[in-house]
Amino acid sequence: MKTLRMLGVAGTVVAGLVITACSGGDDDAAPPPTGVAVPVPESAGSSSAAFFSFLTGLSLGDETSEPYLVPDSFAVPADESDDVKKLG
Amino acid sequence: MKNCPYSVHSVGRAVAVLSLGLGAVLSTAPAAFASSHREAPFIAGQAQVDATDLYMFRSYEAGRQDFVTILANYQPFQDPQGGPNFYMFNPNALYEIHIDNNGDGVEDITFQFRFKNTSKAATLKVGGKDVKIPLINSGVITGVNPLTLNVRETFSIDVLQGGRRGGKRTSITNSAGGSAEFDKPVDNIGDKVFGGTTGYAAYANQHIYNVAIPGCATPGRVFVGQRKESFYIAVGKTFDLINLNPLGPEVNGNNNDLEGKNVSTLAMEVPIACLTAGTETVIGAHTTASLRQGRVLDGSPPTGFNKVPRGGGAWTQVSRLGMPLVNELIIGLDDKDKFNSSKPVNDAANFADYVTNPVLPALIQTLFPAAVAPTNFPRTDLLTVFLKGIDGLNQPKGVVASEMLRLNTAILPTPADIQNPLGVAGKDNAGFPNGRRPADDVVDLSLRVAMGALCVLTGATDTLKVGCKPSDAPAGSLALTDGVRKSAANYGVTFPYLTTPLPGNFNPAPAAGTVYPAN
Repeated sequence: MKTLRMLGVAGTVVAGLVITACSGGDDDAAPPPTGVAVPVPESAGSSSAAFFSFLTGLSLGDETSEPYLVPDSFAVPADESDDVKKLG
Repeated sequence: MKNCPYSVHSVGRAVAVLSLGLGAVLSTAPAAFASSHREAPFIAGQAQVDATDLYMFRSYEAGRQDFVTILANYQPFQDPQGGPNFYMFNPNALYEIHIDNNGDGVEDITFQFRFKNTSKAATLKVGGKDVKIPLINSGVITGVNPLTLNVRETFSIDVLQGGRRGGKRTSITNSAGGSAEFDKPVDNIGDKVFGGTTGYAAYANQHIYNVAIPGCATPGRVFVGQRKESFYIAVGKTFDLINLNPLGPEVNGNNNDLEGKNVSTLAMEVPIACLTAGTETVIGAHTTASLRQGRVLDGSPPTGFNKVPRGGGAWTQVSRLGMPLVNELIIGLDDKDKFNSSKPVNDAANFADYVTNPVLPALIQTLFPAAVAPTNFPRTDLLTVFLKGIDGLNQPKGVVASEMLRLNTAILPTPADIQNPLGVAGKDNAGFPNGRRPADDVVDLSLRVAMGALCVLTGATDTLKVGCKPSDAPAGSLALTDGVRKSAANYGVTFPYLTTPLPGNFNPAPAAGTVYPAN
């Protein structure tokens, strides 16, 4: 039973944030990028629920933004006991 | 996109002089490993977005010399038998080819490829019930998107002028009919599916499209699909502490470890005039793949195709490839992911030490003490060839140091039957490092350059302006090799040049010593 629970726990870590942080300007002949890299909000790391909420709130159609910067201090919650959150 | 005048022969003399010198040194000396296959910790687990090789050359197909062909390979080490899903491109990724046509290290033109996979949910009536089949095809496949193809894979290509994210966006369209959506051929499932051993080639060729490129007066061509792996190398022995004789035979000294693999290719053929700007004839290219920054996995996915991941946020670059073998062999392990996420214009700030003080030559000297590493630091010769291009060959005016594959479009292509896989070193100016063709032996060439071949070539007066001299490179004239070589005859002579992928029914011979149970 404990094993099953642990497997379930592992399954709750359903969200991953790619922590690539790009920087640098775009072409000299191009219009300025509409997105400016900013840090991931600290609140996104306050709990697995907050992290899930942050991730599901990200735009599905963003073509112009730079990725969020992910500071070393940002700790992605890895809750070992939550159930998998349902997606709508 | 600009239609700009250019001079095909404007640098011919300078290149001819350079070629003689390079040929004398490099064709008798050595080079480097898998070009960019699984080269970084993160990308090693993301095969669908792992760029493996980038080729760029003036088309050598008859009648097409005024075009540039660009081939970007993804998804390494494909076993042909990899069904039932085989090797689709990632519909949640953005694949890009960037062109810098003014030498500033920043993209001026970007081609963006996006994919869409649609299940047809084909069923079979079993016991009176319609039940969905478990395969991506339900029978023999002929023609584009037949009913028997259960998963339709399509793609679109946008062109951005200016920055990759903020530039002006337009779409490439099919010259026949004007659609902006193109069908990708399914991978080579096997000979029976395609009606015989030549069936897949005929099927795939129906997916070569003549395309209208916005702002470009002349149509180009596009193909996206599976090909036989084009890179060649004795990669296993190389990673095994170079467990081969680097001064052995250059041809047939070892087997190509990638001979039984396939790869997925993005192929474009674009008029030269639509890639160049002003009087600058040198263009730089690199390919990248990006994923949405955030991803949520659905723990209870609904019925459907590829419903588990849901991505959102900015496109986040996770793969980058210009010159072959750079991230593989030059960038330190802890910075490989960083390199894949970086932009060329920032290379000098981010990665200069790896180029000016490279580890590879020191490793080679450790393994083979007779091959003494160059002593010139900083290694300006490597900075030149990887980040700037060689003066008089493929260096743009006012170049900003940035790693990318550079092609002087003013140099005429060499017909396939007389190409030299050592490229410029073999007196063939239309080959590597002036761009890269499928057969160019970038492994041997890279090894030789790493050990100082350019320092020997440039001579005491540094005619190539690489900042070193022959005495700096005691091993600079050694003919280093991994023992594997191909020629243009091993590839196609028409677009997309890379050959038909191995079929899934390919059934390799048993390994030596295999013992089977008695019947």
